[in-house]
Amino acid sequence: MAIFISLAILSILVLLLEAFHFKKTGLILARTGLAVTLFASIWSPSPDLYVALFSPLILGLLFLILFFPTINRLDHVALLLFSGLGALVMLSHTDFITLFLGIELLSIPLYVLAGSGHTRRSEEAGIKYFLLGSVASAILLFGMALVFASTGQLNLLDLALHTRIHFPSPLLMTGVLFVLAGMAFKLSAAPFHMWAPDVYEGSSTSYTAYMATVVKCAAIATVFKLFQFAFGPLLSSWGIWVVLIACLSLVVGNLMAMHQHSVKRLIAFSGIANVGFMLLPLAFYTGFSLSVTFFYVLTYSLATLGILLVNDCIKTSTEDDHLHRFHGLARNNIFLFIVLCVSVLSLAGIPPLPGFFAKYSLLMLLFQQGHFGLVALALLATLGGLTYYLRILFASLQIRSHSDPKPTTVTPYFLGLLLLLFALCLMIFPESFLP
Amino acid sequence: MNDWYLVLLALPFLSACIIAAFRFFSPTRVSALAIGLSGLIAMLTFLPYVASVSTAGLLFDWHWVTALGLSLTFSVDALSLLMLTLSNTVFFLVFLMSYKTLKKSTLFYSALFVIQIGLTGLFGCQNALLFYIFWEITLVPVIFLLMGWGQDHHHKTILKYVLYSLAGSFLMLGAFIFLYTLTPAPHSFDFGVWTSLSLPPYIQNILFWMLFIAFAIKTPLIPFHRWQLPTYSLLPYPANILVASVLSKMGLYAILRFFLALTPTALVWNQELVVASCVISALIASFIALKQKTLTGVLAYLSVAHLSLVVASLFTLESTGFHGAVFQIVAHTITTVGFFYCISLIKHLYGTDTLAELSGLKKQSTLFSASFFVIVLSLAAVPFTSGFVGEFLMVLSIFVVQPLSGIGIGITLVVGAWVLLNTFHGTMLGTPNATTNTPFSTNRLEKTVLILLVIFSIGLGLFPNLILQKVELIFNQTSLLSSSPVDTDSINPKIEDVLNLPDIEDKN
Repeated sequence: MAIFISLAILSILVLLLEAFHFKKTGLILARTGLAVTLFASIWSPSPDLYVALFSPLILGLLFLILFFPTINRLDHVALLLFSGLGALVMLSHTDFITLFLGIELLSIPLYVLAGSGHTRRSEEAGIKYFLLGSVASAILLFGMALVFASTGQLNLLDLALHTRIHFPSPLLMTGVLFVLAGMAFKLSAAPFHMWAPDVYEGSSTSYTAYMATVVKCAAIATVFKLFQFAFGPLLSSWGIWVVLIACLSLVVGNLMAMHQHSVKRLIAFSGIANVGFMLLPLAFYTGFSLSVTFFYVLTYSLATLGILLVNDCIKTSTEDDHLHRFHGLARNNIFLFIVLCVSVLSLAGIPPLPGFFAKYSLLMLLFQQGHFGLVALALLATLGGLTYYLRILFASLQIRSHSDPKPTTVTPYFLGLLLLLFALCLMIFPESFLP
Repeated sequence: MNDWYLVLLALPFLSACIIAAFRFFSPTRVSALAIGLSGLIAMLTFLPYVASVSTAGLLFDWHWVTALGLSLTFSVDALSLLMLTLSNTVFFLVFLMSYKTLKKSTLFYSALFVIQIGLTGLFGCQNALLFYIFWEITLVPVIFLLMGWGQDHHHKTILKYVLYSLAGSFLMLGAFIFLYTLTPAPHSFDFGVWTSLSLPPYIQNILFWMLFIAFAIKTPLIPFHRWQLPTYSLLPYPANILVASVLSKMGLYAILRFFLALTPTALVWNQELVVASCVISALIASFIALKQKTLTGVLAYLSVAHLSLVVASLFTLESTGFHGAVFQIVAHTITTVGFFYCISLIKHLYGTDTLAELSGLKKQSTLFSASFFVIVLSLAAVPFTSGFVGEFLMVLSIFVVQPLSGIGIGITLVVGAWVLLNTFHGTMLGTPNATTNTPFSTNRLEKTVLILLVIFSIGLGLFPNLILQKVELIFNQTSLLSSSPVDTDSINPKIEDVLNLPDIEDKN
């Protein structure tokens, strides 16, 4: 609770400082404030396992995103902080009302941020995200209403007790599936993924990074909490739907990503494919599945952040987002090139980078559950993923150069170094992150 | 001296970092530094032959990720030592070759050193997951070399190489995880535990085919060879020599390590099929080599033919076949390096390796054409060259097992020799044409490397016992998979016994 309050106060303070034009102070305050809350969340972990695992991750990712070179307006920083608060509220919900509150608090600042650029693409992104997001919220609410109608409960604990004792009614099952659909939208899992590529492409790179990492983390944690805890006993009825969504995401994400030429669209589809990997463990209730997904989300977020950071550092004359942006990177800026390589290869699952351990532990889980078909699909998806991840590296090794990858400040280098160090830690001691 | 292997593993890593850090040095100094470092590594590899270095038992053991069964476990036995010596020597030669022919780039040398880390780890590790990791580590620098220094940017070639390699290694990973789940309760990837497994025959069969296809892609054998020629032609020069000579032996090394120990029954079951298909693969490859228009193409397909032969003779489960195959692994590596080096010199001077455009090189440089001739003879398995000993033993073993395949092998050898002599005739003899009009100038370094390669090719042919003694050591090992002295005595048959399995089956 203290973390929520301090985060809320922090955002209001930042907003006030913007009003009085203390830009630098505000940015420093936001970063230090976030660092303090991050340490607080690690220092005194919440008794709730899901919150204890994911809230440091969310705060840490938010902290890293504040070092992106295009973060320069304090009101936007304040909106990001509010949205982060929403993510934490959504994560630590104990009943449906708080969950919905959290989701809206997460989303509404994002609608604004997505539309905050002054290009047509950005406006399109804002409107699209807002409209589709509202529909998804409505579906989620409808699902909650159905669950309430059949059980009379809104509290997770009561729901868990109810589902354990009573035989599930068709009404309850419909409600659960609607809730799943609503959450799949937030996760951008296929077939609810249509918004992601357009919105990612239209938004500024730092907000794309936020959507691709923090929002996904919060949503996947919420899905796990909701479905493992409250609807856990009904696994046999919704498990197949989760597997379907996951497989569809794997297929659609990978196939579509192969044809993309825009960096952010590619990241969007890679995110969709990766959601498939993250969702698979949910369908098998073992003690191991949460930690597998946690590790996967961790490595995925760091790698995606790395790619988008490099993308953000490159300034081109035209404002397009084509993969050509990366041309000449290996020759012009070796440090950013190394960050890009480590991130891309980690996402692709090449050993001994952290992404390999994530994919590998997932495969192991599927293997031990005896789902050889899913193992084959996951391996094929990894193979397909390589075809487009390698295109990024391929572009960055080209000699022709359209761009000037010289960040004006030192912060991107600091962020890149942090990401590399963290990848190294994950590589050498993966076990300390596999709870 | 127990840390000998760890130093050997750490040195390429350090070298890669040092070379990458010295990118502001002048290019000549960087390449001199790289040659020096690789020479040091090569010398260190020879240490066990001259000094008493304990290589028995586990050299190192550290649990990396206990939950996933991954531990850093290393051990060096006779087979590892042979492969290590071979690969590090070739690395040294390749670094020497890269002195002139290459755009000198620090990252290029770093990439080569990273491949060396992968191979050193691969040949010494005692944990299957670690084996997989090192296997993949060799892949990444090759991708970078293809992308960054490829002679022309061909997206599709790179993708083809990556997809083929990864499809193979995923199959291997699948088989490894499967084996892991088959081990008793605290599951393990440790080779020591795996050797004591006795698997039901049908499971052995599944594992056998998964692993066999994986290794066949890496080697490559015929239905899986499509990545090879484009990759060789696209890679920058000294790097493709490395890929053709050493990386192609990874698959053979894995076959030697895993099949005899893990799937003896499946080996006997599938023996005839595998031998026959390998012989067919060799036949097809040698006929394709006949139609090749470039020197690289000739080399690539003859290499497929030779390596198919090696696999076939390993699967004859005969003692002669085993000896011949291991000998041929060494000999083929050396001759491939030699042949490819000659191609690289020609390509560097005249800008082409198309057969039709080359002629009369003997007139330009006698030393070069003489060396080329020796290497060609060695590849054609003429007596008193390194190619002969291995080839003779292998053909002998195949004749014993499948006389019909023996005839096929005879045809392969004749066609191969024909292709090689034709190539020699076309490029070296005759009068120089418009392309080859300029004199063939080689500097002292290039001459030294050529002469070294010639000495290796003839020396191994004259004194085959140098290698055959080592093969005998490998052959007498208790188990090829695990070299730890624990739990091998009673449970595991010796390799000799495994090789004699077909007789036992027949008697029953």
